[in-house]
Amino acid sequence: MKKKIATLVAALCVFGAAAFFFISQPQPLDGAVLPAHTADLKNGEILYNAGGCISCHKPAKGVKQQKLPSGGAPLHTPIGTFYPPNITPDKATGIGSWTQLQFVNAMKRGLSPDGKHYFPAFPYTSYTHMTVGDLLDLHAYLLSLKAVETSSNKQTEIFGAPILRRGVGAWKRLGLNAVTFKPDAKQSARWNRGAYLVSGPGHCNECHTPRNFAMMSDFSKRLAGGPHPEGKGKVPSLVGLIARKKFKDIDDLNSALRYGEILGYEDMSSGGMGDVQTNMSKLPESDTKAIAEYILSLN
Amino acid sequence: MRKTTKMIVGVVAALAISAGGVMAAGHLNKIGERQEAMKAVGGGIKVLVGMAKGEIDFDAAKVKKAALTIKANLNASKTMFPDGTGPDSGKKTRAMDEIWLDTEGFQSALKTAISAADGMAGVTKKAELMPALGKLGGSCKSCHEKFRAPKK
Repeated sequence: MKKKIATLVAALCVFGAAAFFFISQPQPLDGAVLPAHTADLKNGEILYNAGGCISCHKPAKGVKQQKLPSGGAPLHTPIGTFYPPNITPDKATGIGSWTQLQFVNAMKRGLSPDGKHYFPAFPYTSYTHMTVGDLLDLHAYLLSLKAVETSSNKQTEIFGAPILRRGVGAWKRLGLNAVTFKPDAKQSARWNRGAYLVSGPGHCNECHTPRNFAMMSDFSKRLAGGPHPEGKGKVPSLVGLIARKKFKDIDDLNSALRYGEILGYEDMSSGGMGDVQTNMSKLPESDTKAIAEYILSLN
Repeated sequence: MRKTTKMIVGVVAALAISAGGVMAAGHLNKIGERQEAMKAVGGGIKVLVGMAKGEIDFDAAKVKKAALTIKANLNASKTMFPDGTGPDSGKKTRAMDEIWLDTEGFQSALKTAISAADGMAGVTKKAELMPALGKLGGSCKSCHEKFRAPKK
């Protein structure tokens, strides 16, 4: 009897491990997704600013070139400290030797060139909604930057990282909705542009949409605010901003995005929004207006 | 004799406790004081922003008045962040620990803001307003980014 139970337990363990192995398997895209494409560097730069890549891939203290995304500055999260990597085109320490497909897989599937899962602190859960064409433009833009060689890529400081990393694969089954943004035909072109920038490159949902118990964005409360991901206070809701008298109209929110506290919008600085606003101020005005139109339509 | 001693001890103890209480309260009053100071700064900014956006007519005298109000309140707030008035005070405050972890950085951010207010006070033409506001509002932003927490 005892032997039978032992056999059963062992079988269950093997089955569980096999199931985990299967469920957590990386699912990369293949080269067929890459269209024939001529890179548009200007569009790449817009996406770079909309994504605010520099805010997380900030150079470590003491690095001479502070304006390039050479990474290394610590990113503190409730589960541990990340050191976002170098995304300048340095061949050894940056992304200079990545292929287009490797870049697209990082952004759309959260996979490293050697096929490992990235932790979703890297918001591929949003970038997955970007079009492949935009991703190729962004890739080309990053490759056009000056290469910065970084001395050491510090390792993620997270308890049990290797097993958790594999577990991210299982998490992605539910937490990664890998579909490219589809415009809503009932809405204006500007609204759709705003919706795309907000849900894709801008990755606004990562902070402004609350997460459920499994740390997945709870889209039944899209952009409705919630606890701050770094554990300091709250992230404000973006729903019903006009009804709640936070902003008057599209022009008002557009000014807030473009100028922030320079024009007295005092809630555009705290909790990381200051960096976001700085990056937004570099977008064409048509894009910040599009974002404002979409955000103000949320009710 | 014993009774008198006890009484004296009692009175001294009571005095010490109430003095401590008053001191602590005075300490925590600083939170209210600095919030008032920042409100006054905000009031000045509102006038300047109104003019920059063209909602209020440009008036150099009003610019100067707003700038000096801002400067005076920023100056006063230098001493409104004593130890024990941060997030651990148990009071409602958006002041972050970084103010006390990086006192030098915080005071230098205040200094930057004060000199930007000075610059604003010297504005005489509408064309000079937006650049001066860029510096002044920019100083609000960079200080709030580091030292002011999001709303609770």
